[in-house]
Amino acid sequence: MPEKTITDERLLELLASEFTFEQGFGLLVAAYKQRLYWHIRRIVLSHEDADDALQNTFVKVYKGIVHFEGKSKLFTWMYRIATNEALSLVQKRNKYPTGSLDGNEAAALLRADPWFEGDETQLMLQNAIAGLPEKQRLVFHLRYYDEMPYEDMSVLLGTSVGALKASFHHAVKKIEQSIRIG
Amino acid sequence: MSKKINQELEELSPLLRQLREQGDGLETPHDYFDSFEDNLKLRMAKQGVRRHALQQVHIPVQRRMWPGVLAAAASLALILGAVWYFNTGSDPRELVAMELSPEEITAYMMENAADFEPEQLAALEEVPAENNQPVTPDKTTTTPENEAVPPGGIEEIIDEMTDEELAELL
Repeated sequence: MPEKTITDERLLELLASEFTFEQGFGLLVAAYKQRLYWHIRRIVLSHEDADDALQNTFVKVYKGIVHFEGKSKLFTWMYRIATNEALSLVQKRNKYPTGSLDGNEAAALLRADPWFEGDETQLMLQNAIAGLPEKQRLVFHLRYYDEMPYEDMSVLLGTSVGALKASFHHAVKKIEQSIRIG
Repeated sequence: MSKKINQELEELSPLLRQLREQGDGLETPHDYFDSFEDNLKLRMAKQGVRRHALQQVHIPVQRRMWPGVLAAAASLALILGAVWYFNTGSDPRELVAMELSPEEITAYMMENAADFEPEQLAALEEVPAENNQPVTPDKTTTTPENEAVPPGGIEEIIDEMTDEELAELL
């Protein structure tokens, strides 16, 4: 996440004026595009879907930023939009309507994606993650890849810190077991 | 932060900590992030995406209040107008008349007798009596009050009167 060099306060100042709105939105996209992309990509797996969901996310941010009341962090608000966008895109395309992949569906999806360059172990890891229940998978992504503090995750997902730690613990154990079984 | 998550994983699953260091194998096209803004702009233009005007969101209460404010202002203006009207007299003509003396009013009406009703002129004759003020004689009028006394004096007039007329006078 090295692209973020502007504070949320400054972004919101720019977005609050008709004269600086477009400039503020440009800076917001530049600041958050990578972080949101990787969050979405790990849910939808294919680059094409991730690009689609990310653009939809920013379109919704563009149209809805005037309704942002500042009750949560700007990033938390966008994270929520991105998560919903990714999950609804996956369900809409009917690749895994329940939000989870079974068997080797994730591996098959990644093998078909020209922008996956991992080995068999990494395929197994993605397959194991994709097989988790939706919320457990989100918790795993947010902690394992995004290194999000449990406190921030609690605000984002509306779950207690204790429950999130337990959820992450279970997710890790399930994935490890899945990989070992092969 | 990486140190913290690595410590946590080391306790939970050394295998996953090791896999994390290898990465996830997910890649993006070359210059994907550099060209993202341009692609987003194209998509938004194609879809005709428009945002809400900021003022609609920030001052909706003021907008809703405008008709009420105008109605209140109109009502206030009407009330103030009515108060002024009833406090200062209902007929502007009375304001002009108040500044004129009875003599001036009478003189004006006599000069413009054609513009007034007979009743108004008749009422005018009573004004000096009511006010105990003599009306300025006007040579052009023919009212009995303005007729000159004959040269022979009052005795001559009495001589010409009949007995009945004299009885009425006495």
